[in-house]
Amino acid sequence: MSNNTHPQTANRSSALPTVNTQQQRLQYEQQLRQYEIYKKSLPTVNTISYEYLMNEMVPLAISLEIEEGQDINTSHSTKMAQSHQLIYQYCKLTLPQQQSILNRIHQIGFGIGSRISEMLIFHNNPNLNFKSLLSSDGRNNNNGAELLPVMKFICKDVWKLVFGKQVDNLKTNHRGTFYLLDKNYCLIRNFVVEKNSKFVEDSDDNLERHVILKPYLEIAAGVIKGVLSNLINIDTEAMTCVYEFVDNGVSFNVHVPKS
Amino acid sequence: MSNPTAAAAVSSASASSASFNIPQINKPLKALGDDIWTNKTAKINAELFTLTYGSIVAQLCHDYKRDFKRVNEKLFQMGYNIGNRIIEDFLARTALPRCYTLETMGEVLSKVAFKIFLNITPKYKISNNNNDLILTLGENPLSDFVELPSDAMKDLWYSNILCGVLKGALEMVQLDCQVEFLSDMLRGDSSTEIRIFSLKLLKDEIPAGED
Repeated sequence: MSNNTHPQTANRSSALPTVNTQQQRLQYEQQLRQYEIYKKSLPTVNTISYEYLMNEMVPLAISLEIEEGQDINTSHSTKMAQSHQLIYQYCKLTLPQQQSILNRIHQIGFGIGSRISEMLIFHNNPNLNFKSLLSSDGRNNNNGAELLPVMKFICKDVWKLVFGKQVDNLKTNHRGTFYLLDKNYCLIRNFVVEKNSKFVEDSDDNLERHVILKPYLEIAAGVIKGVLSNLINIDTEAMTCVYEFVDNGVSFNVHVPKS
Repeated sequence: MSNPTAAAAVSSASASSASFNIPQINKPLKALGDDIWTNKTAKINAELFTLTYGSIVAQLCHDYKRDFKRVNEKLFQMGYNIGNRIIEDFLARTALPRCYTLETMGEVLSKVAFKIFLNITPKYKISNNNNDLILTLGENPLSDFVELPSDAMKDLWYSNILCGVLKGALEMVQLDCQVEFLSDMLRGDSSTEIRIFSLKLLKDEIPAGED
């Protein structure tokens, strides 16, 4: 990621602590080693279990929305449909219904984001340094430059943990807007949408694909917002995070207004 | 067949196919599970897994307005859908043949299945006249540092997704059964126990059409 960051931003506020003397360097290296050992000592589970859980989130939200439209008494006994059928049903729902599904997924993502940001910070990673977040009077300060370490934290540490890889490219206009480009977004990496499938009536394959994939992108948007809301002092409603498909991946555009 | 023991159901099935050479498990299961876990598994931070599941349950409780019975049901369904698919991964990794006794099934579930997916080895015991399999989870990565609010203690089975996964996965290998939580440490019980009962062998059927 660091190779691709905006050239102007690269040296402006680096996430690395300044390493001046030999002693500081040694100390830093020792901290890094300890951090590596600590990371290895943490309990782990199979990645597959986690991926299934993440993927199942979307059909879950869809089935909740469908149930809401039905009478509670009838829906109580009906069996939930298979996951892939639910995902295809998503396209057939009305726009407000789709939006409410997205909100639901966003909330789950938000919960993950706000929780893991705490977890990551308490892991004592020596590469993390948010001192620039605090202005001279010790209060939170969130104009564009101070946001950058937080965005880098999202691109490197958060993304690495949640999606297994770092964000490929981070761009900013220094006015609170950030573009995060992920060329290989992990939740949709293995997706195949059947062409002319019986579940998809619209023959415009491309459009369908995008609509079906939206909930999976919303998870990431929720995570980004969750981390931001936890680390900077700002009204979450004022922040926006939209995503779009670009030629070579998915772009998440985050805007944080100045307070 | 009306509610036979799994062993009886299996013996009748194996009698009809006696001429075939029935593959038996001849590997030590613990070594198999450990080997797959250490050498062939991509791993992820367990805390992340816990937090993700926590966010999902929290959202469900919110959506169902704290109707915990429905939350249990939904978690079960979610697990069922996962189990349907995760069994394929399990078979591909372990290449284990069919289990012919409840005893082997318990051993495979605990030492291989739980080991490679969650890195835990629950204790198992067989009770109720060789009809039930009870798994006792010493640790549970789904519920690490979870504390239930007092209104949820009575009705919510926090890790009910596990029951769903077991049910979904077993159904895919032609074992119909019921799975439920007997106790959960989150509710203040002394142990966390899952009961698998009323096992029935499903006959080969053409799956119900999707349309």
